Amino acid sequence: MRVTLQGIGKSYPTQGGGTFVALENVSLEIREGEFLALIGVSGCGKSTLLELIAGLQTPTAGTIAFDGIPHVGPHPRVSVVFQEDSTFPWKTVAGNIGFGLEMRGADPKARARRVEAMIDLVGLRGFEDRYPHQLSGGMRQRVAIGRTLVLDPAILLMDEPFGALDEQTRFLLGEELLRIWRESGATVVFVTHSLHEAVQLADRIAVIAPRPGRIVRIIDNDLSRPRRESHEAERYGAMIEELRVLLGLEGNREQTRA
Amino acid sequence: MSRRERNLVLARVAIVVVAVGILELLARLGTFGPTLSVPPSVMLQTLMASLADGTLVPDVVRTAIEIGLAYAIALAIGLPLGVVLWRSRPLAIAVEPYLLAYYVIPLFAFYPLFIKIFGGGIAPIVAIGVINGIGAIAMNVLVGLREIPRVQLAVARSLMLGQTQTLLHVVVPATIPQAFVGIRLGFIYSLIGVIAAEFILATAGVGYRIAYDYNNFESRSMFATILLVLIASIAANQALISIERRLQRHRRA
Repeated sequence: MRVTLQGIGKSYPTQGGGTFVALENVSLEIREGEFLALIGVSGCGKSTLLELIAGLQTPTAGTIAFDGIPHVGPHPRVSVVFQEDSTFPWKTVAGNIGFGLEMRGADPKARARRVEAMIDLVGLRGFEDRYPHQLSGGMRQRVAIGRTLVLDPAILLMDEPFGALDEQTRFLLGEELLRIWRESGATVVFVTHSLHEAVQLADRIAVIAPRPGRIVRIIDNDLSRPRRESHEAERYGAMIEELRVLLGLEGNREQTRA
Repeated sequence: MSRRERNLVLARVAIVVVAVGILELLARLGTFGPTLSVPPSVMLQTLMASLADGTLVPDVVRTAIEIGLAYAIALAIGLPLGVVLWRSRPLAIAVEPYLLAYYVIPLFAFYPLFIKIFGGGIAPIVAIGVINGIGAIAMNVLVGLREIPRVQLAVARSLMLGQTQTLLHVVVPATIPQAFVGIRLGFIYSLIGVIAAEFILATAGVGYRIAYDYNNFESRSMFATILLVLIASIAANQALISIERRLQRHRRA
């Protein structure tokens, strides 16, 4: 499914009676089946943009259309994976993954089959009957990803899904996400503030600048997959450098390796 | 159970055994004077006898009914009150300080007022039990509801759950462990309220019985009844705690 953002703006009234402009005039065409990264510094509005596409917030200007049809609010074919742990502690891994299907009234047998398949896809075989508190942060995020993918979403929105994880887990889950993305054929919109994560994962990288949040550049990432810094060192480095400049991080290298 | 845990349990039991043993010894030596020196073993015998011959049974039944009524009413008001305060922020801001502070009020000092309002019989006693229990129930429900992680509600919205679905499948299970703390405390507070109110307001019941025996120097029977209250309230509390543990077992540490 294709998403068209047309002149999207989001502003909030502030306590002092003024207006805070979180996003201003964002227009963007998200192509069917692509992996798009939204990158920007903290507070630039990238998560707000994701929540607008998710229908969890309403834009104060502009329109959002799915396959050309304008839409307001959550959409049944759009799923979200959040940055925080969103698993339900009272449900097992299998119970969590099947939650959306259960709520949509899926036939229990069909549900069990799809949950089983999803447990394999997200690599949680052997942990079906565990509860979230018995799992690591990375495994809980796999559960959250499984819970959204099992609904077969056309668009998968991910808000820094690996942000709370360590670098190694983040890299490995990123590689797995790419495999899952290829198998599912969904369109992925992935919010991150990590340059390397964006370059590792995305087909296109939309760079968002803060105050007010706006897209300053969209970079096509045509590095061959699987992407490693060592494979095409020069082009990889150049892309990181370009992002760094666009994000205004030049000369402050310590902060950029997130 | 590990060896360490077993030793800890043994130590706990030992504390009670030693304490009861010391009390038994001191009482048999007449340390507390002729009237009050009742050994625990005699308390237990007296209790068994008065339960067996039925002299204490009507009081126990009456007190149980009062506690049951008080607790049921406290739940019926406290649970919805917690929900209402969660839904209405202005109301919560207005009411919360009172709800938190009213345990400071010496409720029992107002007993003449309770008699004036509720008349004789069990009504004023039940009322005190209700008032004693409501606060803990409402506050813990409110805290439980407020502590639902925002992200869990966002999941519900993004899955396009209806209000009833969100309530039944997200809000309620997310709130139950904390709410149950209030459900347990509410029971204990209602029980304490009822028995204490019986001391001053009742013409029958366990609390009345203790006060009556005290006034008539019936130490054996008084201590026997106190023992009954002690056993019953500890047993009830333990039962509720074990349910609470079951409900909280999947919570994060």
